[in-house]
Amino acid sequence: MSPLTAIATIVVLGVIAAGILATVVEFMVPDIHNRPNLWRSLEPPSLEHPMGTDSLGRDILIRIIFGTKPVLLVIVISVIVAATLGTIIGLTSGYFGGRLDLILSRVIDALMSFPAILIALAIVAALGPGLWKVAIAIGIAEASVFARLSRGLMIVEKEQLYVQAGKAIGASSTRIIFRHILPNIAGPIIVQATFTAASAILWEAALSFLGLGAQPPTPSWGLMLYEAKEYMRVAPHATVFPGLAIFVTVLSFNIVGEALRDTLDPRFRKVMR
Amino acid sequence: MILSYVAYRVLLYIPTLLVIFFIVFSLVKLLPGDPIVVMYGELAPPPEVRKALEEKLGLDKPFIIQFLLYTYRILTGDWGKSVHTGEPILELVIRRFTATLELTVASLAIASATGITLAYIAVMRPNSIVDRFIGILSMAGYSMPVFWWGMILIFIFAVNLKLLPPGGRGGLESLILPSLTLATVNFGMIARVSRAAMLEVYSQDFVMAARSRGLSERRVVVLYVMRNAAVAIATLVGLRFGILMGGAVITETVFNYPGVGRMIVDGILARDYPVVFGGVVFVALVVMTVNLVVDLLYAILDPRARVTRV
Repeated sequence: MSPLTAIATIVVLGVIAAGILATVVEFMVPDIHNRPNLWRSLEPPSLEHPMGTDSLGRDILIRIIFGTKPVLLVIVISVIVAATLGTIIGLTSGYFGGRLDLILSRVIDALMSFPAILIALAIVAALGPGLWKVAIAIGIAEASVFARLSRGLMIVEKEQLYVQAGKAIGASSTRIIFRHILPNIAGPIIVQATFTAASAILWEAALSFLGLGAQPPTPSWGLMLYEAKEYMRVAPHATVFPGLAIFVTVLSFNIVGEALRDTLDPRFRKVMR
Repeated sequence: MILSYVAYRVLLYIPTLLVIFFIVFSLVKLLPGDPIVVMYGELAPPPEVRKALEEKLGLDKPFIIQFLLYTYRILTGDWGKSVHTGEPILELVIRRFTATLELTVASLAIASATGITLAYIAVMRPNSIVDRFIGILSMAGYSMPVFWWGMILIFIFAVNLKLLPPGGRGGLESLILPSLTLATVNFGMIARVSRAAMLEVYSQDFVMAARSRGLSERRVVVLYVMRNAAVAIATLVGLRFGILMGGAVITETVFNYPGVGRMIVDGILARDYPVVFGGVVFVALVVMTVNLVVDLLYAILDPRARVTRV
C-alpha cells in the first residue's frame, strides 16, 4: 500500500467514524454545533477557534466535524438506493436478455442521458428540498451506473459453466442470480460503490450550496459554503475550510476506490499491470 | 453494413426518447398541488379558461393518455410558458442554451488540451513518478467541488487582482473564469481515458515494429500511438458531454452566467416548474443526441466498433 493510499484510507475511516460519533453526541447534546455568538462572528483562525468562526459566531472546526454526519447519511442512503436499484435492473436485464433486456437497456440509456445532477435537481424540484430527499435523489440518479456495470458483468458471467450447472440441477433464476452469480461479480460493484460515495458527497454539497439540500442549522459542508459565500471578502477562512473538507474527503474516497479496484476487479488487474 | 448499423442506432433512439419524456412527465405529476396552478401560475383562473386548460392537458383522461398528450406537445414545440415572465419555454431554453454551449465548448477545449498533453507525458514513461503524479493530479481535478473552486478563482482573479469580471456574460473575458473552473473538474477524466487508450495501442505489434526500426520514442508516440488512439479518445471525450453539462449547471450558478443550468436552478427556487422541466427535457435531449452522433461517428471512423454494441 502506498503512503498516499494509507493516508486516504485513514481519512475515509476517520470520516465514517466521526460521522457515527457525531450522530451519538448530537443525540445527547443537540445544539453542540449550533451555538451562535454574534459578538464573535467571522473571526479569523485563532487558538480558541482553529478555523475561525462563521457569520453567526459558531466555531467552524466543530461544524466541520459534525458535518461528517450529513456526509455519512448521504453516502449510506444514496449508495444503498443506487446499488440496489441499479444492480437489480442490470442483473435482470443481462441474465434474461431478449425483449426484457431491450426494454431495460432503453431505460438505462435514458437515465444515463440525464446528467446525474439534473435528475437530482428535477427530483428535488418535485419533492422539495431536504437532506433525505437529496440522498434518495442522488441514489436514483446514480443507479444507471450500477445497472450498466452489472449488466455487462452478467452477460459475461452467465456463460460460465457453474451457471449452466445450476440451471441443469433446476435451481431457480433468482437463486442462480443472487446466490451464485452476484458473489462472483461483487468486487467491481463494491469498487463502484466507493466511487459513487465520492460523487454523492460532491452532489450533496452542490445541492446544499444551491440551497436545495440540507437546511439550516444542519452543519452540512455545502450549506456552510452557501452561508459563507456573501462574506468571502471579509472572511475567506469561512469558505476555505469547508471546501477543503469536501475536497479532501472526496479525493480520499476516490483514492481508496482506485486501490480497491486494483485488488478486487480482475479486469483492471490485467489491463493496468 | 454501416447503413444498417446507423439505422439500428437511430431506431433505438426513439424508445429512449420516450423513456426520457416518461421520467420527466412522471416527475411533473409528482408535483404537489393543483396542476393548473403549478403549470400556469394562475391562482383562480376564470372557469372557461380553466376548462380550456384542463382539456389541453387532458386532466380528466387516464395517465397514459396524459403522457401521450405531453409527448405530443413536446414534439410539436408547445413547451408551455414561463409562469413568471410568460415567455415561451422553448425560445427561452434555446436562448439560454446558446450561452451554455459557449461555456461547455470553451471548457472542453481547455480540458482536452490539458488532459491529452498530460496523458502524452504520462505515456512516455508509464508507471514512473511523473505518471503517478499526473494520475493524482487528474484525480484531484475531478474530486474538486466545482462551486468552491469557482468561488476561489473569483476571489483571487476578480476580487483581489481585479483582472477578470466575477460573473455575468459579455465578451471573452467573462468566459475565462467559468470555463477554467469547469475545465478543472474535467481535464482529469480526459487525461485518464486518453492514457488508457494510448497504453492499449502501445502494447500492439506495429508499435514495437516502429520502435525496432529505430524511431525515437517521441515519434513513436506521436505518429503511431496517438494517431491510432485519437478516435477512441475523441469518442470517450464526446460521451462525457453529459457529465460536462452537469458541471456546467453548478458553474453557471456560481458565476451568475445566464445559461440553461442557472435557469433551471432559478426556476426551482422561484417554483417556475414549466421552466425547470422544459430545461431538464432539453438538456437530456441534447446529451442523448450528442451521444448518438458520437457513437455513429465512431462506427464510421473505426469499423471495429461496428459490432452491434447494444
